[in-house]
Amino acid sequence: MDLLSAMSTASSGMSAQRFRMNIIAANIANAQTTRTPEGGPYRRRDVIFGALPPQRTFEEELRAQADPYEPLHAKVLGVAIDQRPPVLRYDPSHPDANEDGYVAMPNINPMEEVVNMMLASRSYEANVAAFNATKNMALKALEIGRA
Amino acid sequence: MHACPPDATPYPAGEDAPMRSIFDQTLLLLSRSLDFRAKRNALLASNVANLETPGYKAKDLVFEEALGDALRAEQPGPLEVTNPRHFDGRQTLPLALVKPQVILTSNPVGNLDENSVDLEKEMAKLGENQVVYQAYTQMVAHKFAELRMSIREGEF
Repeated sequence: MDLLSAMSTASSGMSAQRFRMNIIAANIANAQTTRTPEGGPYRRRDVIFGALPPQRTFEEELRAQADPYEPLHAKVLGVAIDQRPPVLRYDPSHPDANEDGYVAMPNINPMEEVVNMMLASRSYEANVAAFNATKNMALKALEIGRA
Repeated sequence: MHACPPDATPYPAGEDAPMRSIFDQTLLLLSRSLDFRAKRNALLASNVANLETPGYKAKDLVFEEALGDALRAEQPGPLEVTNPRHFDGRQTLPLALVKPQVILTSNPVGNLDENSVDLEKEMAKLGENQVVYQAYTQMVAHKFAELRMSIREGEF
């Protein structure tokens, strides 16, 4: 049913944006982290979005072959590590300072993270709106047979 | 009466389907419109969900014109028919067979990541689609209310 599939499409967008929000929160939380399990300072992470057809049962797959139109779900394909080099900050008293007194700090720009956070939150809201629109349509359709 | 070729028309020409008089063209048109609006809603939801997916192309569904053509498909075509098997020169599909068409939405202000979703446009379309869908459901409900009224001989 198209209305139900539209709801799951909207929820795919919501969960993708929520995942992105987690990553942004991790970036902000680790803005000062100089030690990580893989060594060196924390490196900024970014999500990669992809548009994929929804997971389907065999029957739905057969039906989809006959149906040329296809709404695509938004999915997180992976998390990319930002390749920008760490920022060197002069702080000789820091335990992780090198012999010249410089500390390699994570290359995280709080402004950038906040802007991404706002984008993620707006996109999430847009998906909520799409979900509600679909829900209202489905509820309205249920009223057809009512006396 | 000549035997009709097994075509996909729900009401073969020359044969009077008994329910045709009650469940007329209007109800079929409304149900097809509701179907297409629901499909369109699914596509628009997918556009919104993929607002930030690189390379995603916004899509839309068009069907109003095809439905309008299908309404005229009941009328005789330009060629004269003296036998039910004759082709009357009509190019249109009957209402029950009309297919919507998926188009790519153009976005002149393209994004750098080849994504063509314009959020404001999509939200406006979602809203419009929702309102028109609700209007159609009300029309269907009224249609059934009319039937109910005539079945109960005017008592509502």
